[in-house]
Amino acid sequence: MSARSPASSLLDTVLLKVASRCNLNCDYCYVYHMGDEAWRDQPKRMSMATIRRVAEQLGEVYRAQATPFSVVLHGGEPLLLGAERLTALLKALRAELPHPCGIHVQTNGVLLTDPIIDLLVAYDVGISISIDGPAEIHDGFRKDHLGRGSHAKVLAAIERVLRRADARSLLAGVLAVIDPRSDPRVVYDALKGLGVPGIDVLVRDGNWDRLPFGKASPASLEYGQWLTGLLKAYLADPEPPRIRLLDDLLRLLLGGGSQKEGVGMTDYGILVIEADGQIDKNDTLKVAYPNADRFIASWNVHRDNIRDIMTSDAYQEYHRQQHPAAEDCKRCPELAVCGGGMVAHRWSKSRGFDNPTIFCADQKLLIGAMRSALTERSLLSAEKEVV
Amino acid sequence: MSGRRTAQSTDATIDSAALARLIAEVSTPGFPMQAAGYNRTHNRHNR
Repeated sequence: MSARSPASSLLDTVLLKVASRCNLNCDYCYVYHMGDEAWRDQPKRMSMATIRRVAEQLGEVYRAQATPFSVVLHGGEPLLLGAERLTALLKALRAELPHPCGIHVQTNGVLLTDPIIDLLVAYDVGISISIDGPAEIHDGFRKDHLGRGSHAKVLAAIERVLRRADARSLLAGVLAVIDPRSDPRVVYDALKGLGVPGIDVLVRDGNWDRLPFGKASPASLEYGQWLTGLLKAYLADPEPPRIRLLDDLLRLLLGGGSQKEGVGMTDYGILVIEADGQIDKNDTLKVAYPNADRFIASWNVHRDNIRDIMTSDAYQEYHRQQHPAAEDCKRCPELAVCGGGMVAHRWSKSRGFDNPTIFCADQKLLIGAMRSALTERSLLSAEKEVV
Repeated sequence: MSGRRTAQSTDATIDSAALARLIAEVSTPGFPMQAAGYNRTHNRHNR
């Protein structure tokens, strides 16, 4: 088992919740439908004063840590911010965070019009669009507030970006939430057919007290089987797009590193800034229990300094939380690849975060399938060493 | 436990394009931070 790199106070990803509401009402959303109601207390959009303060503070962090980081415009739906404030935000951020700092937007695509794309081009903003596969799968969950499916609008947005020579390279890819009842081959073909360079897939959120959608028990393998089916399609494809989750796990097995949280033992530093400037932990913690993403002190960019927060005991404790604490994880031969999964998925009321991920059995099945695929190709020996 | 591959071990006969691509990457010093477009795709958040 490899040791996690030393605890660090470096920031590598900042989520800006520039809009606290969404123009879609997806059944599975961790922001609105997992029991946390904090969004109700937030202003609908980030104000100009907060935008200015956020940009100033992030510039200070960048100059102090001298290591580039990424800012992700997030929500809710970030494009609800509107063109005028989006222009001000991007101008302010780019002035403080030049390349190689990354600015991204994670959007449902519905408001991704040509004038908005012009702005993203002007400030070199990477684009990721949420789409779950073909219409019959996507529209089952990703609906507007009147219950109408959003697939056609999202598809049009992806085509709009890909049609533009100046914007095409900004499209990092699409983000798909898994319906474990679906056929992974059908989903893969549909997403690949979009012509995007990358795909990321997300399991449905859950924990030991609230099982994820479609998972019958902690030991059941619905997600592991689905992901193994996706792996099979991916490895057989002569011209595959990227699949971030699978690439991360395979790269670790091959001796490389991972990128995303919840995979491998890479340290990460994620902070969230809410629409009113409040500074929170990783928002995915919301799926454990209401306000699990809050620091005890109510920090805000208007009153507090992000650099001070990052050296606080509370931040260091939050940072340490990403390290798996469960004895089963510490003994597990796959820990260096699995990393204990996402912190939020380890939660139970009785043991806190001191559990393996609720997807432990699924992870083991998937990593085992990857080991077999690498061993069959003589890329990994049976003793689990890279050849 | 896994170990880093060397450039010499990249095998053009690997029958999976996805694996061949990953092997090339892990054999490249500095990957992924030096990769083209890194700042557009690097984001640790899982959403």
